[in-house]
Amino acid sequence: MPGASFHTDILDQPDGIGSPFAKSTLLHVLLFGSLIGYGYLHNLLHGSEWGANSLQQGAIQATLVSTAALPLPQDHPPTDNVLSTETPSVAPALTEQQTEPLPLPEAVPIPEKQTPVKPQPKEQPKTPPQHQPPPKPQNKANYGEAAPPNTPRATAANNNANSPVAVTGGDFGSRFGWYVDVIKRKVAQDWYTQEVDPSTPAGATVYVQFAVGRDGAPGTVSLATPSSSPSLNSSCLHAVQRVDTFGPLPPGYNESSLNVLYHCTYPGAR
Amino acid sequence: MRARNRISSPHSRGLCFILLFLSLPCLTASAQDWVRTGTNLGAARIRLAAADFNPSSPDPQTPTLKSTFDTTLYSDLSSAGVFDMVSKSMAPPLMPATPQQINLASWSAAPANAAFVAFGSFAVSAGRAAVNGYLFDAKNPDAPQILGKQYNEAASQESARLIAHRFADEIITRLGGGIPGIAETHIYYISSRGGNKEVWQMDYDGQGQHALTHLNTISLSPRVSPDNERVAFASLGKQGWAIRMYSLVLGRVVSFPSVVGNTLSPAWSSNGAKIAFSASRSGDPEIFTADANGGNVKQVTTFRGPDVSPTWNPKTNSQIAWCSGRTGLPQIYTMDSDGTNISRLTDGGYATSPSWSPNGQFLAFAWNRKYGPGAPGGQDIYIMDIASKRWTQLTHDEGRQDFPSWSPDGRHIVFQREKGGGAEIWTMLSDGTEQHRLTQSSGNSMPNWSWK
Repeated sequence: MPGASFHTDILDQPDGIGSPFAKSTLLHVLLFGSLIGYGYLHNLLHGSEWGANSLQQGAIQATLVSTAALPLPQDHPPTDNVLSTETPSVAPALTEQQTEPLPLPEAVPIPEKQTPVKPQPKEQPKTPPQHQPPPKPQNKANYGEAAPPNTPRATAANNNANSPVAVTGGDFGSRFGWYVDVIKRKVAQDWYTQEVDPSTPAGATVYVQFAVGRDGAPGTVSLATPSSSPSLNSSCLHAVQRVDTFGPLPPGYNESSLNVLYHCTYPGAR
Repeated sequence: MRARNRISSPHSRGLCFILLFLSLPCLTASAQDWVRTGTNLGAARIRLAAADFNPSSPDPQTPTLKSTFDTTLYSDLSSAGVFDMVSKSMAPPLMPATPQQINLASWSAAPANAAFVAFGSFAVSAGRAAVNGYLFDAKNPDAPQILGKQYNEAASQESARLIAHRFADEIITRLGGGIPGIAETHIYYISSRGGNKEVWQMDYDGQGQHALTHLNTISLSPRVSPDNERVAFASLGKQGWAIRMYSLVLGRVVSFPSVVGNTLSPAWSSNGAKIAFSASRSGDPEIFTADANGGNVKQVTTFRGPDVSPTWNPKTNSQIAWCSGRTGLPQIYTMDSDGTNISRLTDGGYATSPSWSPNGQFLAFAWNRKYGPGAPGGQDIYIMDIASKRWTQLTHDEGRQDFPSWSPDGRHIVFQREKGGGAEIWTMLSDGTEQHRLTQSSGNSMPNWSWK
């Protein structure tokens, strides 16, 4: 049998592994020995330059300070930003520009629908915001157009003009009610409610008293019962002082003067 | 004490014009009566009815003269600015002649609602017009009579008007609280209706227009003296412009010394003692003052630029307002009569023709506030409260107004209005209402209201 003989021949041959094994071992020993030798020699040459406890001090000396004053970053864990990535996606490819195919010679163009152009509203120029300047303090007389002044002829509307005169006593009032009307009207015409402080409550009343001489001239006017508003008090006094005359006392009245108690009731700011 | 409680109660305060008359025994140590009254809503016009007077004679002149009287009386009372007149159509169709014939209830009730009634009789006898006039308080039947007057004049249209004027003035003075009536006042003005600019005169209501001067030259700026005896005016003569005097007593021009150069725009002080005017020797008019006889001439302004149209403060006679062009366009200024304390009143535009109100409080003047080519507005009449310098426009868009002049009661203003090429004289109340045209032929200008 040829096959059996061949197998026998391979197994019967002498084993040649001893010599290569010895050479390999020698090579590894040499490599190992050279590494140790390199480390030893390197340590001899540079061992004192890094981390050595040298007595010689350098040019820079670090000083420990309190960490409280240092703007150290907060000890937060890094944020897991889901949008960040180290592998950016590939940029999308540019689409190729395709040219319009030329129309066929026999093609009839379809007219495009003309949409009416909507007129654009004109842009209004933006006006800067108007800021109301604060009123300047006035230390002079007002100058400008005024409402119609309270001239002597000026009268105000009165819906109760025909109300009867209430006479509760006194000979003069019953005999010469028209003269009392004259007194009331003339003082009322000269009472400028603009002089009264607008904060004066409506209904505030001041009583002034004065005497009317035979020639109709009012005498000295004084406060009889002042109101709580000084401006109302003075305005009522001024109203009487503006009257030059009420006209001569009625001929049928024989006394030398007539005493008048006049009240000004503030109607409220208008 | 009872009265005080009633007045201070809410009910009494709510009723605006309740008058309370009380005898106050505790206060009336003297014999005078006490009156208690007051206000809180201003003053109302007086509701007044003027009944047609009763024709109490068969004389054929009576109807026409009575009609003139009735019309004039009603017109005077209406234009006084004091009354709310009862329309003739609302008045009872009655003509009471005497106090016994009047039924006050019919006048005080609706629709007349009169507070006062003027009535009486008109008779013509033997060429004389006799008028009995009464004024009654329709709300006080117990003591209604306020006024009773008798008039007797020659029977004529002028007399009928004169009597009506006087009776109206009595009513206005009595119910108006002593204000002077203006029914007998006159207006002096310049008219060219005769071909030349002469001084004319008319009643305050436009009646009785007639020429005073016949100088056949140009006359301007008539100003009547406070005593109604002379009219000063500027007239163009051989020596230029000069102030001349027309005597209303003598009916002719009287001598007045020519002072310095061209003199214009005279103005009387209210006491008649002084006269102010503008005069120029070298073309720059300045303000001068002089005595009423032309002596004691004093120059009070020395500004570069024209100074014209002086007017005195009639209340004090210590101030003069005038028109000055020292800053360019004419403006209104005031100063003391010696030339000190100058104050400018208008702040721009074209302001001329100042006129001081009788109470010294206001100035009326003509003002074109937006003067210039194409500027809006026109020349209108304004009044200004001198103390506060606050002004009020009285006329609006009715042509060109100029030369305002106050009535003696301070309630009216007469002025010149140019509209449609002709100048006319108009009057209005001092708040700009109730404007009435007085002249009808064009060429009437520069009115001046008499002092009384």
